[in-house]
Amino acid sequence: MKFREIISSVLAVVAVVGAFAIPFAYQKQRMTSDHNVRTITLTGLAPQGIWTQDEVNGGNYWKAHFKPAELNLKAGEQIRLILRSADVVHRFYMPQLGIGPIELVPGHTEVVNFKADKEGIYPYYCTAVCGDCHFHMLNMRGLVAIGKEIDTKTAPIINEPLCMVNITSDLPSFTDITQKGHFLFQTRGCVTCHGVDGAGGIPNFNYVRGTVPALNTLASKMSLGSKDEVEAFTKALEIKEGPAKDKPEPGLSNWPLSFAQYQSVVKTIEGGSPPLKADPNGPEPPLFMPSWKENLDHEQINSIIAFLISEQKFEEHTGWGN
Amino acid sequence: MSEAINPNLTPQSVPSPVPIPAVVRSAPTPLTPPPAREGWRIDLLKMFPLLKWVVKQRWFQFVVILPNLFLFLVFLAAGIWGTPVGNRNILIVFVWIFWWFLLISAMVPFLSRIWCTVCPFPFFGEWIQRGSLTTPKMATPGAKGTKIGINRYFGLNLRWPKALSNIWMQNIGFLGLCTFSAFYLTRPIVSVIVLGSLIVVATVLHVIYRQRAFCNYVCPVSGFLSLYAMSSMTEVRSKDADVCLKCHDKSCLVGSERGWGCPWFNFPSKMERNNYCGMCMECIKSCPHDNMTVNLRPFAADTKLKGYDEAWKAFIMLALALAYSVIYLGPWAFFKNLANYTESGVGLPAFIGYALALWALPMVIIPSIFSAFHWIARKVAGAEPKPWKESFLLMAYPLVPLGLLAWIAFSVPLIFINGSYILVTMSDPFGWGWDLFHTAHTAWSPVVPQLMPTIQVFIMALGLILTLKSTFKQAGKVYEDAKAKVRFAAPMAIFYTAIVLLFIQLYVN
Repeated sequence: MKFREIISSVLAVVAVVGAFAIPFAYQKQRMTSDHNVRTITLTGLAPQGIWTQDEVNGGNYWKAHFKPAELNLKAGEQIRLILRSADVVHRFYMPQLGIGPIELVPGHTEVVNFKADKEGIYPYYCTAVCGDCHFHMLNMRGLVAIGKEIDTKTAPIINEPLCMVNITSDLPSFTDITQKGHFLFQTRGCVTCHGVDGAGGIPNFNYVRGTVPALNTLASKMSLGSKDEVEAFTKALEIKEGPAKDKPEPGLSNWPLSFAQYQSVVKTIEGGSPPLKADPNGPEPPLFMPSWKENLDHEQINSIIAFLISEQKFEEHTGWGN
Repeated sequence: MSEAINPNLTPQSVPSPVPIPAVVRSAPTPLTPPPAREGWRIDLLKMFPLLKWVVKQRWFQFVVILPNLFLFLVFLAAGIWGTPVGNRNILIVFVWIFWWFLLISAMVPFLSRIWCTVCPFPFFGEWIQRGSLTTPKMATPGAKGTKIGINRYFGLNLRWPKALSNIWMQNIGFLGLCTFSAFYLTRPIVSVIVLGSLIVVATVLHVIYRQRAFCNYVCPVSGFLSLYAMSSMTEVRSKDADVCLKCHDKSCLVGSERGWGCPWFNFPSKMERNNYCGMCMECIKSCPHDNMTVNLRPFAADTKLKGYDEAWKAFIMLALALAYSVIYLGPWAFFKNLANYTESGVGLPAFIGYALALWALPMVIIPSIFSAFHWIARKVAGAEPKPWKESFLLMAYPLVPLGLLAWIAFSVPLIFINGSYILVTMSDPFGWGWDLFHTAHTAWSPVVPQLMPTIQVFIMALGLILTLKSTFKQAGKVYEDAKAKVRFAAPMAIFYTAIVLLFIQLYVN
């Protein structure tokens, strides 16, 4: 009887200790199985609008303030990137390194293995509209530096939360409207869907075109046929009131058409645009153009348009006939 | 106070050649045979000798609690250190979806309070109190510990206050917990706080009060288990009342070296209801005459509510099944937002309004409507009725099978719609990327969602049949005259039918 009691007491203690110790021991064993691989865990947090390397769990999620991730990788390192979402569906996307978009279902874990052999500083994003602060997920905290230090002076810095409903942060001063537009494009979230420099190509499930439209051909769509015409239209955009129909800018071959297209672009940015479905009976495409009326003023919209038309690649005119 | 519970280890004065412990000798109630049982019984221990051998082993309860305790603690760890995402945290998924469904749809209807057999809440408290996990301690002169019956216990072993010897605390506690349900259903850490607190309170009360005072009077889960166990198809009972009458030992009550005295304050040989039997099987072990067993019996065989506390428990459970069906199954975001006000941002005043409504429904509104129908029924019946309380409790009984079926109807979609989360979390309980059983990436796949309303309507229709049958049967206990019985039962039947139609309306639409 005494033996049975001793055995049962030992088993009870083992059960209590084991319940807490075994999961952690197993997890530790999993994470350290390969010493040549550096494991980095990134967790997407919608309320703060950040990716964090901090431990996010059921015990601290509701109260803690998490530190945005700072990823400084050594060139040549083999990386195991563990991606998680702590709350809503995020979509991790690091285009220059060919990672993603990877859908992160809350509570699930996705693992990406890659070698950090391409020196440089690369942004990564959440390309799902995951909350009011979605666009905050691409600030400098969303940069991965491989073999370099992130220069906080040159990297785009956003000091205040960039939640969609509350974009009030002061912009850095820009002398060039195109640079300002580039900054806004990067920091206000356009880049998360329309791609680096407006190259587009991000998959949008069940969208009629398959991918988010590229914006770096906007100049062509606005009938701006040369760099000179782009510069001319940019001048019109620099005016505080913006282009006006009855004030054609000199040097533009088809002002009425360019102006009409400009108005159409402004309307789309201000009012948003629902994506057309490829399969009418299928689900709504996850990405859509939201309304920016409340978050971008007219000048800022013009700056973004100036940036986008500057991205148009024109064929060099050699003057030799070919 | 509910008469079913015996707060003083009740006790019968019986002629006995052996010295009966003081606690038993002081008992006033004469030993009488238990009332005749309604319906058939099948002795499961006779039918399955292996089962009998197992439940008679001293290690039986320990062996079934231990893995449950281990898993429960793993779940708590997952609640703290696992993913904050509710439907991916094993604590939320296993406790509030899987366990709840099993409990209400399988354990309670078929196995009575079998959950109390394996419940981890009182494990530590009982360990301290008994100073043992498997072996009964015998009281010997001069030995350390408190003598109760002929067993010895550690701790203060105070008697539970008589004023609280009912299930009102459980009623209030359960209603209180349900008020904040949206918090712990979605936030693992809140579930940890709730469930962890129950372990702490259970442990403390075991050290202060005798035996399973926590389970009998405080545990909010135990409260509704006690009510719905009346419907269950199994029971622990004596085999032969004569054997108990002639028994001198009363080991089932006072304990012996074979088993502890009933920790639930029952006198097992006289037990006539399942309500307060935790199915620990100690009486089966301790009985020297092998006269205790586990029976299979008809559904809803216990038909007597013994106090307003039990009747109000029935009101509370029915009202919450109704409210939860609206809040969690209904399409009205408004109600969900009220229940989960911290996330929805509806504000504290709106939540207070919701809480007041949630409390008023079972505590005032439904009992008032029930009382009105009961009053009308008595008037319509015409004949001299039994006292108000007696007929009130008799006619409140049909709420038990009705409430149980309503909870099953509510719980079925939980498992059919969200069951795939069980597969996911069992492979990756913490949301750390494990895949223990290769089911971690199972996609959310509702099972026959289109059939849910049909299944729910079928369950509620079954509930209506059982309820109406029970209503007329209970009415016969109030009025012997056949016509008066029918006149009395008719308004109550209308009341119950209206409730079932309300549920059906909710589920269909």
